[in-house]
Amino acid sequence: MLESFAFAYMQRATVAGVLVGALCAIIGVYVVLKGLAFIGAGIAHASFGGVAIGVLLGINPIWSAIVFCILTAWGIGLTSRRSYVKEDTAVGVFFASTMALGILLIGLKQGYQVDLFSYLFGSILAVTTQDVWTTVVITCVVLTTVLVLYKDLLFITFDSEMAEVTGVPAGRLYFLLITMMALTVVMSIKVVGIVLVSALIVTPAAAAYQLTEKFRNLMILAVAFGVGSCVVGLMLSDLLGIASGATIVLLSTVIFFLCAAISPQRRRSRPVTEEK
Amino acid sequence: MINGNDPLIEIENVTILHNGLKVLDSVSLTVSRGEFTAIVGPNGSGKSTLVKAVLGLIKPDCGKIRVFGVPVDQLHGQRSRIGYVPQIFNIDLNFPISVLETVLMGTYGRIGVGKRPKTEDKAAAMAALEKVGIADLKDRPLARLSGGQRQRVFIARALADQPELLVLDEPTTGVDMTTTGNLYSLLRELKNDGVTIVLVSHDVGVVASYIDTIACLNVSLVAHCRPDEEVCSRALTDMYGSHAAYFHHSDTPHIVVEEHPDA
Repeated sequence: MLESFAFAYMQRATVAGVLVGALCAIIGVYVVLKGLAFIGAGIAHASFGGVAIGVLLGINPIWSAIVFCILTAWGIGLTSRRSYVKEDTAVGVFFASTMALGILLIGLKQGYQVDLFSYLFGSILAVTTQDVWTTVVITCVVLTTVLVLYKDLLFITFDSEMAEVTGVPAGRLYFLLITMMALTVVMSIKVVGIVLVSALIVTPAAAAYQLTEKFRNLMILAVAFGVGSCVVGLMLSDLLGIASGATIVLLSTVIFFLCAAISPQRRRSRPVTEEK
Repeated sequence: MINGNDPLIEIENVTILHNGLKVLDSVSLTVSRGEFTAIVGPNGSGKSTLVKAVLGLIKPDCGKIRVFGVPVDQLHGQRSRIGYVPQIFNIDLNFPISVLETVLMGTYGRIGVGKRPKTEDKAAAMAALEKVGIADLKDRPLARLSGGQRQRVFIARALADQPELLVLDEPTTGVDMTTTGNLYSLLRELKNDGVTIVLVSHDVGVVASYIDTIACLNVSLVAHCRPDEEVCSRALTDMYGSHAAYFHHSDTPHIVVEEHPDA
């Protein structure tokens, strides 16, 4: 029934799905625990501006999106850390303006709208060999970073202030984290699309959070859910002839609600800190 | 003697502004090595701000702070000589982490970025847990502790790297009397081991017998004195607009602030 997996495009799609599912889940753990979901959504929307710049300049939109998203992430980080405005306000400002820039730039390129839809909503079947290799490299970089800095990233996620007091460079690690987030967002665009990326980052980690009180298990479960959603979602969409990005995201949402229902702690998606 | 000849913390004319308002107004304060200082003052008196400035978390708009004789923004590797117990409600208490993992974080600054904790670091974390009396809870998730147990975890974390300076910001908030009592005897022990202690408290129900000096803060430094000095109780009375008095029962005198009936 899944004879389409014999085709090269389907194999590329599967590899991309596995890598992006894992990447999103790993970054998602930090996003859920540190409360960065809105920054993730902001960076995702900024990637539209990045893609538009690439289209206009005639270069691979992935590269322009990487540069643009990292700069936007740093912009949000700097604006909020210097406490000019609150973090969510900073995101709100960058969110719409970078998207507007994208729309403006795309409008300059006359008669261009072919790929637009695929960037917004994903087109996993259109993943090229070059895309797959880019994703492999980025996944390896992020995975190595997370493994090497495991304890330090855990520390700043749990208690950034204490990390700073003891001499751990919390600021630099925070910027590294949002840089990895920007890379993850761009790698996910082809798979689920700009509009749905933030769901693929947050949902698997939020689902895993329902089931465990151990950080390591949280990582492993989140990756399993992320990869599972991507692969099974891809199969389902192929089988039923429905949109792949949306299928993947909805599948991970179903997993989230199942986990929430069987959660031994009956915790919500993000804990509210106990009063006082 | 308040200004000893071996200063560990030197705060010189520190002014800190927040939205144009003075949170701290030219505060100068010296804490000597081995001294136990309590910083007291009402809510909004700038106690936490002062402590954060000493820890290098907030940069003063004016003035200088030196810790271990080094300007605080140049402490770098020496930061691991400081233990810090932050206010507990700044922390996500449902974070998926065990007691031992939390305490181990106290050693991360010294271990360095990108390096793994070794067996001796874990042993140090265990020793700190034993010191606060909850070694048996080492594998318990942080989310499954009582308020008092959690407080001990954060104290153990501050002690894990055997700090020379221990800074505690409101450590008794939301903690029962027994834990508070245990905390104070632990602090006395640490003081006897030569640890310099700075304790921030918004209520003055502080056990006074082993505190060396009290710094009464209300945006500016109102008084810096020994707890049994006349000037001290006067400062407390001024600050709180109420009667501050000592109760000497058993061997642990308390400073108690009583609300004015007409206040």
